[in-house]
Amino acid sequence: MIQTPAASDWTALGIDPTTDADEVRRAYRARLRDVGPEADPEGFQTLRAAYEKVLAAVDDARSTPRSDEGDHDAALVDRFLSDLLARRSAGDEAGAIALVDEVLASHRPGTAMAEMLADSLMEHLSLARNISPRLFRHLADRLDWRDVQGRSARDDPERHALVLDRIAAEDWYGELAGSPGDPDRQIETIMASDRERAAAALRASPISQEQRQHVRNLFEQLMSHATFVLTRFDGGTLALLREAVEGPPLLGEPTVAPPVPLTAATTSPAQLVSPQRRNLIRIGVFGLLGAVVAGKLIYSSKSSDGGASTALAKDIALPMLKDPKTAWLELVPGPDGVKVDWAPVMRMRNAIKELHVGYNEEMPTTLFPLPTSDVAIGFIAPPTLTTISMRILYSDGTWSTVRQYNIRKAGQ
Amino acid sequence: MEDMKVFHAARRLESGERAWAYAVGAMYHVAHGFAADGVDPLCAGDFQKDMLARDWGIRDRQTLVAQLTELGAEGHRHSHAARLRYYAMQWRPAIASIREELRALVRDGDDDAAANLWRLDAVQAGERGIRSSTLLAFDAARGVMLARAGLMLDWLTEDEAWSYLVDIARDVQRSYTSWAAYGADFVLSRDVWRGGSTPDAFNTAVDMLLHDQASPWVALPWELPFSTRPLTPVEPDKPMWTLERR
Repeated sequence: MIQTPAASDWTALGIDPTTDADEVRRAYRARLRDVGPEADPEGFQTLRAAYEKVLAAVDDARSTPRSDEGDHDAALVDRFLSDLLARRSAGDEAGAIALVDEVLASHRPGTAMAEMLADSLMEHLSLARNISPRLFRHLADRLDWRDVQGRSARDDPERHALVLDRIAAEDWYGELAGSPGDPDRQIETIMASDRERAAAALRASPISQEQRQHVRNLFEQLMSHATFVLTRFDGGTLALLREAVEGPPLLGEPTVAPPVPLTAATTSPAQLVSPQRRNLIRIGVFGLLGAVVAGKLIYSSKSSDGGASTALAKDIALPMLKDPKTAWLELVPGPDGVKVDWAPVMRMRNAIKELHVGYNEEMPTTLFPLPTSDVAIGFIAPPTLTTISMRILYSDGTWSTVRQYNIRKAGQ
Repeated sequence: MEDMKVFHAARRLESGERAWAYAVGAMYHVAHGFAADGVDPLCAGDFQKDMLARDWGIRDRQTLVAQLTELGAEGHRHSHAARLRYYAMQWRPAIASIREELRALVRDGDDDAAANLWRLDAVQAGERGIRSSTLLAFDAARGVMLARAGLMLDWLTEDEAWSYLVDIARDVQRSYTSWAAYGADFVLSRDVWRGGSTPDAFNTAVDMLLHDQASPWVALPWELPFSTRPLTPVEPDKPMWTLERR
């Protein structure tokens, strides 16, 4: 059952309608650079769905006319796929697996019919979004989907690469959730359970310092497989584990009013946010996110370990904050790049009403929400980040001057 | 919608799986001014066609079937659930940065960013069980509403419409524990879809359905036994609500 691509599918791929499968694959690869599964999971799903639909339609359109025998075989394959879909849509997972086994067993490997069945399953099910995990794993084991040099890999390397990603995700999830009750895999068991069970387990046995790093590692692994398995996890459980590692969540506030103009200029805040600046903000966001995910944090507060807050009292912090000799950030060159440590300004946060920052900009126009308790903030600056500008509205209502921190210079 | 009320159909569906399935979309029946417990053929007309064309781009049977099948396989629930889980597992510095990026875009007039900012904040606050929700209820209720419209407009046959509706009901019943839980998740999943929680007519409709004596949610037991789902051939020109779990 081939669906005709919609205009939005071609738009998602960024090309005009074509019957050239190679052009479709090239367009998909090009778009992947912007819409990756980690940076934009939703966008990636849309892109992948468009790619599957368009490629299936292109492949279908270019298929050569079949002989009578070929027509007969094709009709059998279509019937099989239809029967399989009937079982799947009825929620009959066991019946679907039994049907696959029955049909594959009735055709000797290497025959034209066996290859046609394998090709059809690869085409229609290997990247289907709503296939049951058990059926997918069964097909991956029965067919040559794991074989990096098999027919499937040779026929359509791009699709096969994605299938290998999906297999890796399923294997990871299977291992994570496959040993409930194993005392050596307590975190894995909690992570795969629902929120209520996770909460009970964490109450009974709070996680240790060592396990906190393990949670971070598992979260990093989950992000790399997120496209295929993220929705299988209970978000309540993920949030509980995150809180067990770093404390309560950073709650939002009402959407901030436009910040006080930093100069006498009449430019509105909206006008200040140019597309280029948005990209720079993204650089900062993903640099920070990447650093956190990669475990490159360089500042760990005491309170995040359950100790006292490191924040200074307001009357002590205010004169320090205003002292030009007091650095708000620490820039430490290292083998991986310049480490940007926010610990100094975070320690003085009690004397700050608002903290504005800018990435590669003279004027810091992005309002940075201040944490109410100690939180680890620090990252390895990406190569594209050359300066960080900062300006502070002090607790006494006065503004600081703008400070510029030169990342490039610190790295020299 | 000011005169919204729950009332009986001239020909009520007999208590059973069809009545139960129809009740899954009761918030839309009530909000659209229709009876909550039966399909009144006199209600067909311009309202249905205008609503389908305006809100859904549905102009005929073919586009209706395509939309019903899309709701049955995907809807909004999967992409939104992925986004909410992504937000649930981010570390605090990342949350701070994402929030600031979204706020900058909001100041630039970006409505999508405003919706995502609401979702981000709701997840951080753990609002109404948002982190754990499957978000099925909003898609399920809309599936029933569209199938009801198809029935009233004669774009769907009785058999194909009821087969689709009862499959939605099976999915809903196995996913929630009560009409109250289902209604609450409808409000939540609709809020996630629109990226805001300002109460509106649908909050009122859900509340009425939970308490009004004419409501099918009051009359029908949640644990109504359903027949075993028959194995039926899949035909591309008929609507399908999949029960495959992924």
